[in-house]
Amino acid sequence: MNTESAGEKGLGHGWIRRTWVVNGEEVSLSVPPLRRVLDILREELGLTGTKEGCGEGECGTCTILVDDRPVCSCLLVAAQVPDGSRILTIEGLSAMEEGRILEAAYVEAGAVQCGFCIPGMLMASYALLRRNGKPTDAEIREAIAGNICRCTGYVKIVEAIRLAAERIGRAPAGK
Amino acid sequence: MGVRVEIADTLQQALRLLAESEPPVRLLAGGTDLLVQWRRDPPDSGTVIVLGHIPELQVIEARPEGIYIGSGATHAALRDSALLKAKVPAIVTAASGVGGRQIQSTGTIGGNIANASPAADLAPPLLIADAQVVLQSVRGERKVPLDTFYRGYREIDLREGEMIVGFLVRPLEPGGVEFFRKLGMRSAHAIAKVSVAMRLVLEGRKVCRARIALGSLAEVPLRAEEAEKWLEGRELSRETIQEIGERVRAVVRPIDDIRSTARYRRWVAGNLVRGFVESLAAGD
Repeated sequence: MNTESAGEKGLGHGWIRRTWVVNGEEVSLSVPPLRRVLDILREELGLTGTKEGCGEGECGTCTILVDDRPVCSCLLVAAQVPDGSRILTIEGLSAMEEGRILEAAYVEAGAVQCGFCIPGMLMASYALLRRNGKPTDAEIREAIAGNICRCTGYVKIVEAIRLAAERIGRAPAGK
Repeated sequence: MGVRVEIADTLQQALRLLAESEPPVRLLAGGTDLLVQWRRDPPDSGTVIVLGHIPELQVIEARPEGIYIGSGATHAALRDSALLKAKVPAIVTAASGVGGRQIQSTGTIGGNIANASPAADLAPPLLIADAQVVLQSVRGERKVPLDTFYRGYREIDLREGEMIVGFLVRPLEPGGVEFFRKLGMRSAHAIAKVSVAMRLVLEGRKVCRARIALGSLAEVPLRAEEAEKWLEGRELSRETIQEIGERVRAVVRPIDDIRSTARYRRWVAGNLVRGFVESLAAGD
């Protein structure tokens, strides 16, 4: 739980009420206006799959989707996210067919080593595949340019995304 | 205590809040620069006005006086705009190279300029399009050419109670070509060591109009006006190609810092400009 009091340095005075759709479920909460969405997800909602890496928008491991767009949840505060916004985290993606296909592809391609970047990497991968079902390698690399991996050298991650794209393209529609 | 946070839903509301709120007042748009700064030095007094979703600030459209780009347009919106791709392509190239997709989703063109960094990616492409900064306050509107909007290192001509609401840019003329290139440590997610934007309007092999703008090469984003004037009226000859790089090197004022050296910056700025002119001369 949030142990910092409202008005504490950096969080803004008072509380604001926010109603978002998080992983398909409506969530209402009172939060300090400048509290980071990353902290709200992890500490208020218990969604700890979203990781904090650099905390400055450089590494992408805190990537979530807000209204289908990938964003760094470390550089987003409650007051910037209006009521009704749809937030997708790695927990929500994992429960989806596309998420399961992506995760299996990452494992099969050997794209996961320490794993710390993987939640953000998967979110960026999904953001790409939902707008472009047949990405080229260049488009894949551009889509994950905001995500840093210090283990793999990216080659196997690109392979995994290519593999997932093929499988999602082949999967029967409507589930 | 703590900083008071106001959320503005309309431009009028934002301007009123800007005029009436307890100072210091800070405007928060995408937050990709500001929230990083606040992590080290969080605001503890005054007011933060959150601009995120004001419709008037998101507009990108053709107007009689030029192409209008609202200050709240995100890099993603610039990147995906067919109008901008056709009329001011260097802006699209520059926006596509800001951070990664995550930063592009939230960071805005207004924030990129208001942050007043000499390395701002959007400044050179705006400068070559003769951008005017459109400012508003409760007192009214003011337009300032972007090249005089920068006053000095991290200093801009923004008056109390004013905010950047948009930019007016000149669409690419018939026979016009634009170029933008940024050099950093890697192609994504890097602050520019050097960036160059150019717009040339050609009649056959003759340069009718030239604009050259440079990032990270002085204390402010810089127009290379002497080099532009020298280039205008010239043929794209071997001599022109040879000399234009030197003309650009003569006007820059680079420094040594953690990202690069003054010597490298001066050298490569000339090479980038020469390379673009050379590629035009070769007819690519």
